[in-house]
Amino acid sequence: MKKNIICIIISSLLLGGCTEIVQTPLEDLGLISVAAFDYVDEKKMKMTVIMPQSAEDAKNPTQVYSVETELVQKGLVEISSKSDSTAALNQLRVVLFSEEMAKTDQMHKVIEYLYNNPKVTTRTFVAVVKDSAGKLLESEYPDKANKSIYMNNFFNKRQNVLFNPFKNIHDLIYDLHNPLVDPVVVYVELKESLINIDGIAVFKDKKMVDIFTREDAKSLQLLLETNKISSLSFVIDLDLAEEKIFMNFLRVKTKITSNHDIESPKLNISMKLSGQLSEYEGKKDLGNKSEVAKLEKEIEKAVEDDMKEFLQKCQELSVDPIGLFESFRMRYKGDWPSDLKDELLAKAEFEVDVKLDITTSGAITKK
Amino acid sequence: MDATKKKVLNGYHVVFLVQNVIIGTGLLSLNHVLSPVGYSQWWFPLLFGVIANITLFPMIWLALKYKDEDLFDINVKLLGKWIGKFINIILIVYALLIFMIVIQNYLSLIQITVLPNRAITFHLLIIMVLTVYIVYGGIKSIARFCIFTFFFAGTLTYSLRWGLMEGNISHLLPLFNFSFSEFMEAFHAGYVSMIGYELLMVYFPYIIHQKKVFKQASLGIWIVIFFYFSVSIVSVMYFSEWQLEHLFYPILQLFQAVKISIIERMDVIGITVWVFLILSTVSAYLWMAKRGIDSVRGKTSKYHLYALAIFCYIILSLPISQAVKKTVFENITYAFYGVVLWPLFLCSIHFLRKEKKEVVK
Amino acid sequence: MWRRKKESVLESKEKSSPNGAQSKDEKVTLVAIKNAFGDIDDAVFKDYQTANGLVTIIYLNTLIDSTVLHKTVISPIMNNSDQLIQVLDHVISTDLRTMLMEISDGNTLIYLHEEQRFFKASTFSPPQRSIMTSEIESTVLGPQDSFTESLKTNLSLIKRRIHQPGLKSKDRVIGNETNTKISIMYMEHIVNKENLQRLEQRIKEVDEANLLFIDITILTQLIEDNPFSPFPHMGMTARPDLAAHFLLDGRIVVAMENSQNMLVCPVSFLEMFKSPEDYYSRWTTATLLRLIRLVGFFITIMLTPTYISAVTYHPGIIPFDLVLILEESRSKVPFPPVIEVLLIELIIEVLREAGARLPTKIGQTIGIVGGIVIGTAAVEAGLLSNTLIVLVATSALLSFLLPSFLMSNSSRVIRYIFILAAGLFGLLGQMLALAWLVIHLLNLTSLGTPYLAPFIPRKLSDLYDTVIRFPLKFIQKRKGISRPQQENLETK
Repeated sequence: MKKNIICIIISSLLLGGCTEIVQTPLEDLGLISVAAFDYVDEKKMKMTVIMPQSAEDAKNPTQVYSVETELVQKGLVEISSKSDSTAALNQLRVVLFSEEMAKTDQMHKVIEYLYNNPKVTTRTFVAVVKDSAGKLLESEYPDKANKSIYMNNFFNKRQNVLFNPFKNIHDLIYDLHNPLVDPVVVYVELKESLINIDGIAVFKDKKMVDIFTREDAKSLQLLLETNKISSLSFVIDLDLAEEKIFMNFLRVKTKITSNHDIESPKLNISMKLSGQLSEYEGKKDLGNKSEVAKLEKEIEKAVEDDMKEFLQKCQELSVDPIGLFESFRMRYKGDWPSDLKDELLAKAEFEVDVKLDITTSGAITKK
Repeated sequence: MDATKKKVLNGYHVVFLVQNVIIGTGLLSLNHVLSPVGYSQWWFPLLFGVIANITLFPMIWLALKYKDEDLFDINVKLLGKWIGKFINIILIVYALLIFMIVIQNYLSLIQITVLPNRAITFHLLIIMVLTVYIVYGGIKSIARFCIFTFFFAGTLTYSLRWGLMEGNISHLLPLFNFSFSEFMEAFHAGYVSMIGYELLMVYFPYIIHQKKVFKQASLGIWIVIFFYFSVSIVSVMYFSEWQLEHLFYPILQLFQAVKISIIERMDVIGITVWVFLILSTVSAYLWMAKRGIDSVRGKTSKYHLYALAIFCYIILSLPISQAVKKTVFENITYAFYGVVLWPLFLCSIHFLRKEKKEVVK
Repeated sequence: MWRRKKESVLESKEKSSPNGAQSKDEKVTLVAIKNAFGDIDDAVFKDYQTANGLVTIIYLNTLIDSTVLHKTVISPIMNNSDQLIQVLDHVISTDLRTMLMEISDGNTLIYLHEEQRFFKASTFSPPQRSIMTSEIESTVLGPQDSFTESLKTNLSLIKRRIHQPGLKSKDRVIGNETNTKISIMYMEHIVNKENLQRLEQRIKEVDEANLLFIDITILTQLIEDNPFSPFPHMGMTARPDLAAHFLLDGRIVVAMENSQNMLVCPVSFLEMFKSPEDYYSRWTTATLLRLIRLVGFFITIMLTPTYISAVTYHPGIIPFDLVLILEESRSKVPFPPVIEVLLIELIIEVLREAGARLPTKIGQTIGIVGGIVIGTAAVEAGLLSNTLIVLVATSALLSFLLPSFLMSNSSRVIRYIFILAAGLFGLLGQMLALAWLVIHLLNLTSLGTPYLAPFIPRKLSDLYDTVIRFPLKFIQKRKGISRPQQENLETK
């Protein structure tokens, strides 16, 4: 009997509690989907946000707000006071930083704030924008129905791009505080009222130092992919034979082995690629085994050269976005010193070994 | 009908009682408290398992000597009425403290993530009422709830998959990358997450097949270790050392890594489902405290349960400063050590008394 | 108080008959009976002159079919009264009360004026409806007959399915005013005797109270383990095949005069999700349907509460595209989500109730009116969001999926608890409510047996017939909840 009385108490309590609901429901929240940060001065930044507007007959489905602030939270409050709804970060999907801001340590602070905020999911994407980040949000995209959806889809649900350097907050924090890796973030640009992926921004000591081109990004992508199926594509121009190749890699397996010698580090990068030859322009007969083998060799050589070039560039810039020395850490006793990576990178010698396997060249036999 | 019989717990009840009471407390911030040893923490749960299993020996040995008596009765029997009762009161306080700490921790987590800017008083009340409702049905009701919790909350382990996929397996090496002081720090902070199996001594007389308890309790402990171990491995793979050190609830971030098309934030669901683990843990401790009061006062009454619940509710609602709470939480480990090692002491008393008796004879 | 004293009658019979002599009590006279039936206008007293002298027959003509009366009493008594009198039962002529009860029961009393003795002929034949298909528990496959309100027909429907003397049907009369006949059925060699005892004990307890047993549902509520529980924990069926199925599993089935349903006990939670059709269709189909019902139950109690939680407390958990849809649909709604959900759930409930009370033809109109009003007008007026209407409609449909009508009702009742909990604490509230539900179910018993069987007490062989219905050759054992004397289905 007493049990039942407890049941009744519970339900009556639940009933009684109905009166004290103070929570703002969804439609009264201004759910920020994209936030952009621009550099103003050492203390201040300009915060621009867009939020989808819920009213059906609104002229513009997206509202844009922009404030200058020292702190993100303070900015939110200011935006709320400007807007008709309470600004909330629960649906934040993309964070954009201007190049200028990325070069200071403000970006790092904002990222850490967002990581710390339980309302923001750690799967929010991060990107660096050429020139002004706020402009990316303020400008109109005549071809796109809804700016928020466009931005969200642009950074989110994509696989079939030339390279895939999209980083979310978790990845970025992981890299920023990892003494072995220098983080990279996708670098976009507003071109002909569309967003364009232009390359990747490389960070060192929590500040952006340089931009890798798209070619470099491809090489990096190949190095980073370990035993994962990727629909990554590659264009190789072999100058001599005037051949154009477009490959779809089905499987990329990169293995970095080292000699574990801190004094004179040597790294051996072996890469096993297998993929489809989806487009080919050239004189070779792809029905012929030996010709295909020849083609494989040529491509291997090209990829090897690319890799070496990329690694050399890394050495010159003294950045390591790959985490080349992970195998050193695995044998290292004690805490990894923060400057050891740079030392190793400067001294390191690389050997690149690429194995390519063309599984198929499409359904039609080409001459 | 269960209340009339004294021996109510079957083998599988014991397994899940041991397992669920442990898991509710420690798992949330396990990887954070183990962070002094950095990446090497992933094999620590195994160590904990071995130690817990070893400390299980004296408990069960002693309990088997006094098959129909629980820890409170044994205390009185071996130490005399006054000392025994004094120790029992300490044990009751211990149970209540853990009860309150676990609830407090969970509620503060709720306040951070799920229900920000909301006072705890109201949902604390409902958690309390539910706990009383579970305890009301006796130890078997708790055990049944534990079994349900295992299967219900156990499905959350699947969400580790995404962390595992994105993680980097090379983090598992090197194995012993820590100094002795770091080891001690991590061990001390981490072993708290094994709190819960000492309750075995209290519900031992309710077990039907007492001879098999060691096997069953060990199985329970190793199920816990399996969960701890898998969470540790995935955390080590998924996080950098800095993150392990600075994230207070790494599990939350692991949940956030989950990508399901219809749910954007798995962590909210994970944390709310966690209330089942919390309920199973706290109800066991409340039951222990109630048993203690029954034993000290020498009579069984349902009002003890209500009084304890109301007492705890009041204490939890009092504006106690964060510093005091923290101190209590940090020092509860020592009490836990004490309780775990207490059977050893009792065993020696048991021997002494036996010898004395023989001498007298 | 018209209380039948069956035992005392038997005792007095035993006492009086061996001696052959009448007791010294006064004999009942015809006049006394006539007086007792004073204001009962359907009481008939007819005199006939026969070979044995003057005979009066007494009966209530509303309970007796005239052809039956003619065949069994009037025509034999006119033609061959000696033979009839030998065949008929003798009624002790001193016990007025018994006699009156016999007449009220629909028997015909025959009074021989010469011998001053009473005889009775059982002529009870009230008008009754024919056996029809079950409306609530209809199936596509399998037998279509269902119980009627006649106890005799109902017993016959069961006994024609189980031809053996092991099937016992114990009759009892309960209720001081109504004197309702019930029949407790069980298989003697299978049923758990403890369960039987417990049930009889409980019936005895309520029997002594002065209660109105109009339908068996009332008896059920009186003998339930936990009257405060929102769940039905005694089974109820109007299908003879299902009742036979339960009997053969070792359950106890109670039938009552004038009620279409039969009470089955003990039953488990999962059995509320079983339809007899599960055993008639192929196991794959049956499994699929069972899964849908079980999942449907949890969706129906969780769907709208989750909407509240997501919209009110956790806007972060919804995917981005969905957020835009939800935001748009909620933008004009003036109420907070809890009120909105409560409103529409109540409207659905009202619609259902209105449809159920009205005759079928008007009921359809209610459906259409409700559909248009809620579906279109409310959304266009901006009172409700259209996303929510989809959710509420889904959960309402799912709640009707359950074969057990009582369970389907309770699923809707507990949904309100979840809605309120979600309105209070969001997902946490839902989980707390779920925890309450689980603890409640875990502690619930059906006739002293855990309601959550086969999980407690667990029985592995039961798992062949729970959520997944394995092919019938696997289902070789009786269910754990009936705690049968014989475990295996084939009796030796």
